Order: sequence, then structure tokens, then C-alpha cells
Amino acid sequence: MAVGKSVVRVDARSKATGKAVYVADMFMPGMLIGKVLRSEFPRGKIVRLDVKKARSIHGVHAVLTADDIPGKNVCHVVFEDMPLLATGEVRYVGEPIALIAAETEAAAQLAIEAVELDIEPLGILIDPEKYNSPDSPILFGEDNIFAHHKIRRGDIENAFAQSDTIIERVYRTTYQEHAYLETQGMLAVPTAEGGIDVYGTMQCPFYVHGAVSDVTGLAQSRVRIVQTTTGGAFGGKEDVPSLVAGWASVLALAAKRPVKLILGRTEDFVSMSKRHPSRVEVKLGATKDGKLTAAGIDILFDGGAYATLSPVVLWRGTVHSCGPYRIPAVRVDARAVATNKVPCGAYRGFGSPQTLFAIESAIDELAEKIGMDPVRIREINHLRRGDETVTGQKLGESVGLQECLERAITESDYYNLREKLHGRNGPVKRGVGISTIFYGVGLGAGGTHFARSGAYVGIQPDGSVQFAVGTTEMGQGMRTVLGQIVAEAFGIPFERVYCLPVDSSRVPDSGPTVASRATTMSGRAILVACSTLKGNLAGVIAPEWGVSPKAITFGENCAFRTDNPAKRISWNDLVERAFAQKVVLTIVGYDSSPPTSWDEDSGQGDAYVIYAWAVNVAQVAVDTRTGVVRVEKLWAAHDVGKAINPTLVEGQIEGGSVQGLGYALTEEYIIDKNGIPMNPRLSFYHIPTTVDAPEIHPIIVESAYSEGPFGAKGFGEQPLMGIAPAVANAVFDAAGIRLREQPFLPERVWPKLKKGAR
Amino acid sequence: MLRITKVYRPDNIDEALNIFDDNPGIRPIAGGTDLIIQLSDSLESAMLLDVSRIEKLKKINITGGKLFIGAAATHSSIAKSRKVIESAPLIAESSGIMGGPAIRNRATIGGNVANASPVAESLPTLIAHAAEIVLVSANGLRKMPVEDFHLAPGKTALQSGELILGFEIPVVSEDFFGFYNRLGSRAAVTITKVGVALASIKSGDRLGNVRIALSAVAPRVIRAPETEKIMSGANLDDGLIEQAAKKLVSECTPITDFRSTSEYRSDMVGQLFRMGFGRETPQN
Repeated sequence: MAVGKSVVRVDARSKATGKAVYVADMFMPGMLIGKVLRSEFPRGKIVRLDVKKARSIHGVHAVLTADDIPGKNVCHVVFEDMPLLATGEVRYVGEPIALIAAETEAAAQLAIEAVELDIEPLGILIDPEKYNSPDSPILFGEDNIFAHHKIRRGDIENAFAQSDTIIERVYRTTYQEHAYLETQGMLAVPTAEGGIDVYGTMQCPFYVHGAVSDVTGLAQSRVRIVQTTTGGAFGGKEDVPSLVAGWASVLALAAKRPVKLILGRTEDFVSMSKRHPSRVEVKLGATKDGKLTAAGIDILFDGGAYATLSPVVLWRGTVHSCGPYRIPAVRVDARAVATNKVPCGAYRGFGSPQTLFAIESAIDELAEKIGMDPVRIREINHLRRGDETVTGQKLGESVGLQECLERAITESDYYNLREKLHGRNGPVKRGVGISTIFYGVGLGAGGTHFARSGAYVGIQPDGSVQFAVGTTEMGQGMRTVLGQIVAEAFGIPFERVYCLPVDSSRVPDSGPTVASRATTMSGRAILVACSTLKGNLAGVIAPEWGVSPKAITFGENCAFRTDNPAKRISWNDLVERAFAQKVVLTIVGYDSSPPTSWDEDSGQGDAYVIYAWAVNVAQVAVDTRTGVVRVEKLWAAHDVGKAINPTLVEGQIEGGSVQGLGYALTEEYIIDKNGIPMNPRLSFYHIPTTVDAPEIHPIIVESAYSEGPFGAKGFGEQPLMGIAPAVANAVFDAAGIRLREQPFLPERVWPKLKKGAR
Repeated sequence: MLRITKVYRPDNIDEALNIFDDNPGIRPIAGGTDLIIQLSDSLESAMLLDVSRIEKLKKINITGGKLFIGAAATHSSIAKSRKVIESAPLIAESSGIMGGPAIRNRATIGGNVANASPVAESLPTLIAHAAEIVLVSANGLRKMPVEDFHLAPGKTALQSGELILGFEIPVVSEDFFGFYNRLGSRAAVTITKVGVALASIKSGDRLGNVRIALSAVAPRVIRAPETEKIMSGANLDDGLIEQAAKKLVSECTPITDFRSTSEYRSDMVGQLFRMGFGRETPQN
């Protein structure tokens, strides 16, 4: 009834008409403005930090340094190495040093300028490839390595020795900025009884909940977190909102007033998380008929000044580094290292776009060397049901890669299209490229302790239903999709269901809204709750019908006997009777993820509960006079298990593809060799506009996942992940030049065209 | 942080000049698309003289064979103006691709020139079209070629107490040949990383009165006098274009910055020039 239908997003109208309330729109009586004093040095010793003058400025209510934090000066992510405010030493440009709360923005700014701060520069480490150079300072542990992950499978030396063809290549990627429309922001409100309520833009309210309790020293029971309308996130609001909420909270407690702290665009750009820059070295071996024999992969991620999410981002990058292929012998070594730059963190794809760019380019380079079509080499090697991944996981179900590949090839008319494009003359060369990728849905073995979810479902006396979950809406359409799941479970119209805002006091800790997990995990918790409530409702009518409650089905706005659908009662009448009999109709459902396994030394195990799959086919035009690459058409086939809302699936495909195009072509954030950000604003950092967007053909493949709600599995990140390699492969097809460094700016393409190198 | 202490909004030039006299250091503002950003980044406070209500500054008209574009005419109004499209086509073109619709609706040609950026969209086309800038002060009017007005990044020949009244541009004849080719960083809403404007008169196979202006390849928008000399009066064939393209590259001194590299900019000056003669516009 509701699932599988493209209902209009519940938040579309309020967002399009400007009625949606973001945290910046909120005001409270007595509210102060919060501001952050930040480091202008990439590394240095704080030799003087005197806030006396700043505190004396009219209208200033609080000026805080690390010494004034009532709780722990730490933002816990994976480790506890990042402070809420710098103490002793600053480690990147933009690192927070002091906090101000003032009655006006102007007073806050005056106070910032009045803080007496002396920083003595220290030696810096900017190039991650020099993490182990003797001249580089040690920023983390004993060796600057945040994490080292491995995969060991088969006899790698022997496998390379037996290979007919071997290629070795190095690929590089740089930062990507989330460029969410709404910058980070929080409003912290002290309560009369000594607690604190925090409102703001975020992905992970339960991370924020823990962080606010840590830094304020307040019991978790007195901390309440409410997510406000969130204007985009893409991973950029996973861990860092904990910092922003921490700052606002300690200020609010010190000033005993509500404090709103909203980051400016450049401030947000400089100091908030980014996609990790990477260097990925790939060695691939194959037989002469194109069967992959061995993969040796060396991964280096630039983690920035603090570990934050680097260990887990790197883990996902590692698990995805060999692509969706059967490879008998594999050796992967992956390291994330410290540098004196902004800490990198989560960004749609979470470490996989970097490694997938490398492997998906390398597969094409290998095919070229063998003299094989790029599609053919993928057909020979891609994972199918019953195969084992490189981590030794046997794929039992929902392996829709083959169908994705077939449909992308058919719908793009790949072979004819290539021939047609190659036949054209002129200075603009056209070609077609492909990428085949996969995505481990949910947190997997890298985050099992968070793999749980809760859902509150309350049937109201009038028969309408409200529900709440612990995962968040950030523009992906979660509230709508979950509403469809509730409606479907009860068999009532979608319009009768309403999703409440996320409030940490309403549902149990549901883990973070990351890893494309909201539909599956909150969907499962919802189904648990709905199932109990349906049992309660069925119990009201079952004795009268002389059947067990289990023999009653819900649907068509009714409950009816499964064996005799004519015997029925309308939903409203049944709810009314249930209320009269004081039956429980409000409940919290709770669920945890199916098990995963992982051995850290061998990198073997069931890394994720299930995988989503995708194939991208890109048609590009390379202007050989300017080096400008334009993507003209894109076919993107995604196996999503079940499209709960096909229009929203298509929206995710289109949006993610364009974000992937930005990553491939135009987005370059530059931090120079002195650690100084060069272009931290949206006029100098070029995300694609609608004019840059190609013609996109979304292709939905549904290979059902038996444990997912109605067969659905998460895929929200996947549309971005395989675009860059598809474009690089298409550029090679068009112009015969191989791009191994993203983004493919004309400044990089042009010299290769000029050389005419193949 | 924006610290604006006072804003005046005069209705006419005389009033504006009086305010100028009474408030030394006051900054004229029209669309504010550059100035407000600069003031936001600055720690200084500012007084503003908003000229966007002065009707005379928004005029676009033709008198005595010259097109006049008021300093406070927006890029949208210039791009859409029949008079500009017919009389100074390159200027209509540069105004039409500058920024995005929202920027074009606010930003003005006077502001673009006053901001004096080497990547300003209007400067190369104004210079190619031999535009003169008209300045007004308590002492009366003063005119000079636009290329002499732009001195260095952020620096102009504007004197204190002077306002930009507008631009006078000779109306092109029917045998006009010209182009404005530029590259940015994406298909729209982008700042030029290299630009070439050429205006000339074509008779048969020869070009006369060749004026070339280059943006983003020197500290200011520059002319290319030697290339102009090679081209003027010579027979326009592939050999000449090639010879001129090479000369043109030698006349610029681009730098490497976060927008592009000097090598790429140099090569593209030649490429955009060659494409112009094939009546081709580069795509981003």
C-alpha cells in the first residue's frame, strides 16, 4: 500500500517554502551569541593566553579557555586524543583555543580580538607521505600512525609469480568538502534544574549526548539533545557537531544563559572535517584471459591533526579496496597518519571513494594491458552469489551486481555508444567509461558496538500514528521512507503517519546516522514495535472471532481474519476498542544488527551484514584544445534491495552522482605547504552547479535482502562512490590519457593531452 | 565582521558629491557583491554611500555615436539591453556570463571596474571596445580610457571625491569582428581564470583597429600591443592567426595561484584566441 510508492517527501513543502526552522532561526529569551577563537598556526606552543581584557568588554558574559571546562577537555570519537579546546599546543589552522559568549555578535568579535594570545611556532608535518621521515615531528603515538589495517589472503608472492600480466600504479585523491547548505550550529539552553537542552544540526544525537555530558560534567540523565531541521550533512555532521555542542554547552553553563553558536562558512570550511586525501598504490595480477590472480594494495590516508574517525574510515576503505571482485590472493596494508591539518572524518562513502578510484582505474589499466574490453574483465571477475569476498565472506543473498551491470550496459547501449562516439571527428573527443562498485551496508564489524536501533511508535486515539526514531533526517528522505514502512506495517494510509523530530529523550540510543543504515536499522526497529502493537490490537478482536491473534492480518485500513478476509474490522474501530480496553498502544521497539566478524591480523571475516552494488557508465567529452572534461551522460544502476520510495532512490542517485562529479572534476581544497588553507569559501571551491550536471539515468535494481525491511538495504552513499573512476576511465576511452590524480582539472588534463601520451 | 557605521542613500549626483565632501573616506556602494564580502573580512568599520538610487547612474543610452552605460547599471540589465547587444556586443556577453543570476541582478559594471580585479569580467570587454570611463567630482567631469584607469590589483586612478558616472563606448560598425573567450572553473557561477577579448573591424580578409585585452594573465587586465600590430591590416589566414597566437602568449605574464597554473594560463591565452577565430566558445 505505502511501500514501493513515490509519495512526496514530508519535509519538501516546509523546506521549499522557507518555513522549516533551522537552528540559526531559533531565538530564546536572554540568548547570547557564541564565538570561537581559533589558531592561525598549523602548529605551535601556546605561550600566553590571557582573557582578562576580553572578559571586561561590555556585553561579554563568558570567555572560556581549556582551564574553564567543567568536565573533561576531550571530544571522544574513536580515541580520546582531540581536546574540546587546545591546551598547551595547537595542531592545525582553525583549532579552537577560546570561547566567547556575548550579547551581540559585535561584542563577541571585540572580545575575540581582545584575547591576548601568543603562539610560538613549532615544526610542522604537512605532507602525509613524510609521516615517517626523520625530519618530521611526532604528532601521534610513537610513529604518527592513527591506524593500520590489513588484509591477508592466499599466497600473494606465488600468485603474482603465476600471473601472466601485472600492473603497478599509484593513484592520488585530495580533500573533499561537504559544502552542506547549512553550516554547523548549536543552541544550548541551561534548564532551571541544572540540566541542559541542546538543539542543533547533526547526524548523531547520541554522540552529541555523550560529548555534552563529558565536557559539562553533567549526568547523562540531565542532558537532552534535539535535532533541528538539518540542511545537509553527507558525513560532515557525524562527529564534529559534538565539538560545536560542547562549546555551546560549556558557554551556556558558564553564562547561565542560552547560547547560540553558528559557524560562518569560512570558519566551518577551515575547521570542520573533510574527506581524507589519499595515496593508493595498486599492484594487480591476472591470467592472460583476464582472470584476476592477485592484488597488493598499499593505502595511505592523511588523517589531519587528530584521529577522530580516521581508524574506521580507513577500515571501510580497506575492506572496499579490492573492488567487487573474486581475487584469490590479496595483501592490503592501510595506514592513516597524522599531519598538521584539519582532522579528516566522515564523508559519503567513508574512505571507499579513494580506494575504489584506485582499484576501478587499475582494473581498466589491467584490461588495457591485456587487450580486453573493460566490461569483459568485470564480467569475468565480479562477485556473484556464493562467491567469497577478499575478506573471506561468503555472499549468500542479495547480490545484484550482475543485474546492475547488464542493465547499465543495455540501457546505455554501451558498445554501440562507444563506437558511435569514437567515429566522430573534431577537437572534442568523446568516450565511455565504466565502474563497478559495492558498498557494505551499515556499520559492519568496524562498529558493531553501535549497531542497534530503537523506535517509538504510538497509535493515537483517533487512529493516526506518531513515531520517532534515533536516526536523523538530513535531507535523504528518511522520515518519509520510515513513515511508509509504518503505514505498510499497519496497512493504513501514509498520511495517517507522522514522524516526530529526533529527541534523545524519546528513543533509546540508536547509534549514529551513518553508513547508509537509517532505512534498514530504524526500519527494523519500527517493524519490531509495529509487530508488538499489531499483536496487542489483534488480541482485542481475536477472542470475538474465535481465532488466535496470529491469525489476524492488517491491511486495507482494516484488521481481518487471514483465512477469511471478509471477517474484518476497520482500523479506527479497532483502535477505539483497544483504547476502551486500556490496551498498550505506545511502545518502543528495539533491534540490533545481525552479527558480523573480523580478525584484525588477517583482515578476514564477515565484514558487513549485506552489500549494495552499483555500476556507473559515464559518457564524457574531452576538449583537446583546453583540457576541459565534461560529463555528458551518466547511467547509474544501483541494487538497493527494495526501493521503498523509488523517487527518493532516484533523487539519491542523482544527487550523489553530481557530488561524485564534483569530486571527479572540480572540487579542490588546497592547504599549502605551510599548512595554510588557500580557498576556504564556496566561490573558490567549486561544487558543481545544475548547469554542470549531466543527463542522469538512474536504474533501480531490487535484489531483496531478507533481513531488511521489505527487502530494503541501505545505499545512500553509493551514488557518489564510483563516479570518479568511471569518469577517469571514460577520459581514457575518449582521449587516450590516464588520469591518476583527482580532481581532473584542466590544468592536469591539458599537459597530458599536450604530450599526447597514452 | 561587518561594521557599517553609516549609510547614505542619495537620489542624485549633486547630493552624492556633497556627502562625499562631508564624509572623507566614505565608500560608494552599488550592488555590494564584492564590497560587502571585503568589509566582512575586514576588521575596519566603514561608512557607505549607496548610489543605487541615482537614476542617472543606471541609464543605458546612445548619444552622438557613443553608447553610455551608467556605473550602477546591473549586469542583468546590460546583458539584456538591445542597445548594448547591438552597439558593444562583447560587453553584453561578459555581463551575461558573469557570476550567476543572483549576482548579475545586483552587481554593477561600475562596481566591477572599481573593484579592479585582474579577473574582472567587464574589464577585458570594455578595454577591447575602447571604452572610456567617465568620472565626476565637485570639479566636474573627467574621462580616460578604461585601460588607464585600472592600475594594479585593487588599485584604480579614481581620486578622492570622485564617483564613476559611467562608460562611453564607440558604437560598433556593421563590419565589427570580435570575441570574448574565457575559461572558469565550472560551467556557471565561476570566476575567470583566463580570458581573451578581441575587437576589430573586418574588411575582406583583413582586420583593422585590432584591440586585444587579456584577463587573469597579469596583475591587471592588459592590452597586447605587439599582437595587435601583427594583426592590423594583415591578411587573416591560419598562418597569421598562429603567428599572432604565439606572440600573444609572449605578451602575458600569468602566475600560478589556487585558481590555475601559469603554464595552463599561457597556453590557454593562445587556445582561446585561436578558438575565437573559428567562432567557437570554450565550454567549462
